[in-house]
Amino acid sequence: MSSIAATRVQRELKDINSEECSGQNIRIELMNDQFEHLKGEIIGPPGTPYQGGKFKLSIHIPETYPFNPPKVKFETKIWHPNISSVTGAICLDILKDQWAAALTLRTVLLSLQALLSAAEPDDPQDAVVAKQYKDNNSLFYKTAKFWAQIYAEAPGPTDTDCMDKLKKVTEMGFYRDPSLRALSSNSWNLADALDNIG
Amino acid sequence: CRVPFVLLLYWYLKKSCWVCFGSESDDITAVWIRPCRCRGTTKWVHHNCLMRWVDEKQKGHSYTKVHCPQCNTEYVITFPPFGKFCGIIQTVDRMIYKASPLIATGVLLGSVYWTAVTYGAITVMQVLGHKEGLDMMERADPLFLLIGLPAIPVGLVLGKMIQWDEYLLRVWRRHAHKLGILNYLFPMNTYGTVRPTQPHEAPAREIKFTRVFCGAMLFPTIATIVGKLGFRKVDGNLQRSFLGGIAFVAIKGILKIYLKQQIYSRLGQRRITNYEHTDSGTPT
Repeated sequence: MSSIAATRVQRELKDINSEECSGQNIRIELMNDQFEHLKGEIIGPPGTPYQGGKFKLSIHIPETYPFNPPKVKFETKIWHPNISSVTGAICLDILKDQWAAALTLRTVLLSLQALLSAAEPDDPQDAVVAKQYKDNNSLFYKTAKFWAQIYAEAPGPTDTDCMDKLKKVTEMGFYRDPSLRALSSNSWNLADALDNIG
Repeated sequence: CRVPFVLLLYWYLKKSCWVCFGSESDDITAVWIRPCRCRGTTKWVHHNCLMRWVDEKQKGHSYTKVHCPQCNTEYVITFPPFGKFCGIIQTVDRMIYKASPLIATGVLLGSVYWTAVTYGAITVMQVLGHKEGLDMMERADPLFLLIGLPAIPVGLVLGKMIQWDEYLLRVWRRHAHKLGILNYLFPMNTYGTVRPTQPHEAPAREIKFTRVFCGAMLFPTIATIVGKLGFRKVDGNLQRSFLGGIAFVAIKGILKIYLKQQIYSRLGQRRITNYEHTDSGTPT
């Protein structure tokens, strides 16, 4: 790893840890003493279906950092129009062509938090989620909240209807993740979900 | 949370590079610049760090304009003066670079043109006879030859593209019932036939370029041969070749129409056979 990248990541981490105002609900940790792979965590912002959830991120620092953006994706599964519900890949301009060397890992994580508050369904990463977001926003809200509770330890009582359906499908012998994805992609219709599971 | 004013002032005054986040104390020898309108934390940057950012944005095109990602000011990049000799070499190099595609296209088109001229000349000699052809071309206006000779292969290809037999066949099919005698030769409607609907309602077969090209290029040779074989009594090479060409086209057209008609009526007489049960074999 080039020295610029390593020293800069080191400085950034020092800044984040010494941040006096730590009310931003973001965290970055080293995986090992190399600076290539980092772990991040953001807390779901209030007023969103992700409220209080702990979303883990994997951050890969390329050799050419900060001239090229870090590669960030969600490790925690999340139901969001701009994040793939399968791979966790993120569609965010500053992680692609709008990257600037003056941006930092901290600003990236804050931007991701902002993305959770304000989705961009017209520039989707996950077309199924984006369609649900536009066509049936209340169903989207319910689904995203349920996902946050299942995967990101978001507080609050879980939706009993969703839980029952998920249980029904998993009791048939399907794994939880594909079952939940199938139900969520098929408007929580049990029969349709079973047809399209996989 | 409140930040003490002194600390804010310190942050404002201290230089910090927005690329590597290094400060003045990290490397006292580094060159600092402020290349844009930015103030505060993105005002200062190491010259070397910004150079690398510019390289990354330009991706090898060293004349592409680069703007500050924050304030969008265009960076002014100056080059040291270039020696006169190097300048001349670069200009020549660029001219050659720009001219080569043009020259290559010209050479290609030129060779196609001269091939066409040569083919035209050979055809004239073939059709008129060797000596008469040469005489005619020597007497003709050179400008006329330069335009007329290459027009011969072009005309042959264009002529070959006219699918007159298809047209004739279609006209004939439409009016077939009026021509009683011909129906004996080319059966049109046999009772109990199922007329194929799709294939022959579809537009005429597509023109296959290689076939058209070969046919057109060989046509003068064939016309000459047919003329020599079939019209020995006719005087004059040109007239003989002309008649030979017409005869060849006519015979070929008739054969083609005949074959097509046979295929068409055969298609109409297809039968689907009953499935026969056999005890030995298992149905698959």
